Amino acid sequence: MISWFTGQTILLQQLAVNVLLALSFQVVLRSGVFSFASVGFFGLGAYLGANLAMHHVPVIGVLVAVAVASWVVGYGLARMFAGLRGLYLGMITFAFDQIVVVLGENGGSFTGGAVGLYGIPLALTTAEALLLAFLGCVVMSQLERRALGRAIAILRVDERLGRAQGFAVDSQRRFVFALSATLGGLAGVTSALLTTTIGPTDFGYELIVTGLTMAVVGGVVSWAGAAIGAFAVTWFPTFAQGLASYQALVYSTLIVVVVVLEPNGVVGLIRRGTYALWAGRRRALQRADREGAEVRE
Amino acid sequence: MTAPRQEHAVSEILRCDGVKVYYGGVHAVDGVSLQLEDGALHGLIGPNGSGKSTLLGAMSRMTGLTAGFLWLKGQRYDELPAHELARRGVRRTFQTVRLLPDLTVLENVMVGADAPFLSHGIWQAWVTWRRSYRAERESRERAMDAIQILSLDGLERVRCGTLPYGTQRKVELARCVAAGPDVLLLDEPTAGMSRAERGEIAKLLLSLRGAGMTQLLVEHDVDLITSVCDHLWVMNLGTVIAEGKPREVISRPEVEEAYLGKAQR
Repeated sequence: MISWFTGQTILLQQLAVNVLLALSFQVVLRSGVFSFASVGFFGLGAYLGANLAMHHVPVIGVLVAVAVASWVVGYGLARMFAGLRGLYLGMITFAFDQIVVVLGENGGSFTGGAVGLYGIPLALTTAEALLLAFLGCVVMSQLERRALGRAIAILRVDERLGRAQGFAVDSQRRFVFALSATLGGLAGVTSALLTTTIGPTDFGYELIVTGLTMAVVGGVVSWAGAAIGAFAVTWFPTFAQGLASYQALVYSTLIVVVVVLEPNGVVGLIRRGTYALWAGRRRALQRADREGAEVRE
Repeated sequence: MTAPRQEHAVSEILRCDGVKVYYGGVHAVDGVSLQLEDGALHGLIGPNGSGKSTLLGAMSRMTGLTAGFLWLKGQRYDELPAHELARRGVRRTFQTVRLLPDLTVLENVMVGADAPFLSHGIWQAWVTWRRSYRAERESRERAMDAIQILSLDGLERVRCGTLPYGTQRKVELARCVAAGPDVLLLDEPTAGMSRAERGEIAKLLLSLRGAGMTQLLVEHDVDLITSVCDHLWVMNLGTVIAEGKPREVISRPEVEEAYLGKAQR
């Protein structure tokens, strides 16, 4: 077990980063907020965390500072974008990602310019990163339970219905956007502290495609979908080495196929299968009841 | 603009004063005033495009007012957000079915009863285990009661997307009943239902009235309206053209003219 763990260290580190990033995408998409801003926050979190770590701030302080800063900036952006929906929100958050890239390229000593930052202290262990990802999953799972889970499910389907049921839809959207920003920022700082480098090429267009693939293929309806997507994307290059150079093409094709065939991804497929089994059993019981009643008559 | 002095009658629960909703040059609602008596079942009819649903939207704060005032239990609410109004006990249904198709009947009905818990904020709902467990139990109990009232027993675990249209309509009504509102605004709740189902809904509306719930029923089914309502308004071209006892109102010439047009001589 320990030897397997050692052999898979790089992939496990990548898994921790991917899970946090996938959760960041999933939480907004599940709430009907069409945002790509997770990747921009990945960059902001990585730069801020790297600078703090290079100034000898303890790792827990780095993580808390990145989480709080991402939340504040995310909440501010959510207020600015309050009136935007659908494609327009997607476009403006994509523009936000590009702005962060440009800021990274021209950020002087804070970002290391186009070359990026090197020699960031290796402040996070693989186990700590995995623990952070696990905690992310636990926290996000709580967002899906009971009344809050139903209120957020309504956000995606029908905002007017949510308002009619007494739900503060606008503040829910802001909350979800800020939460996504926090997870994106934590994914970025985790990456920077594990790989000891960060540069503008690390959070470009390809990371948007990767993040979307994880969330959509796994299923945006649940945190479990994000986790499944992160596992799949992390180990994909290992199992399909011949396709490694076509990675972006494969991911894009996967998104299209999943959206057409099963919009709720792997989790949706599992839920549909489970429900079909239950419904089949229910029908069989009803049939047996009817036949029993006829025999008695 | 200041509100006119409000004489709040004891039996009155909701009032519209000179409500106008304009979309550019289109006067969808043009100066409508009406009041809902506490515990009564009111009807609102009118030809297509007469402004009934827009008025309902304005009364539920889903649609902004161009002018006019709205009062609930003697307090103005024309600047209150829609979700706040819902929390204060004014609930509505929509002309089209609005359910979460992937959720079960029970979960959809529970949505109606979730607002009191969620009104304390998202943070609390997110991090409090015991309180959310208690709120869940209460929501479930209220939802199960509503499901029984609507005769939806046995369908609790069925996904709403797989149900026939008439049953989906009943799930919507169950969601409203689970909320236990003071005022219920119903936008064509029997549209697309069979005759038998309409009869069931009529009985339900009467039983809700018996329980003291104030209702405003927007409908095209004149038979249903005249058989259950205590008071009726008729709208045409954004204004109220007649009001009074249902059977008396529908026989008025101006109402017949609004529905059937003027006879050619």
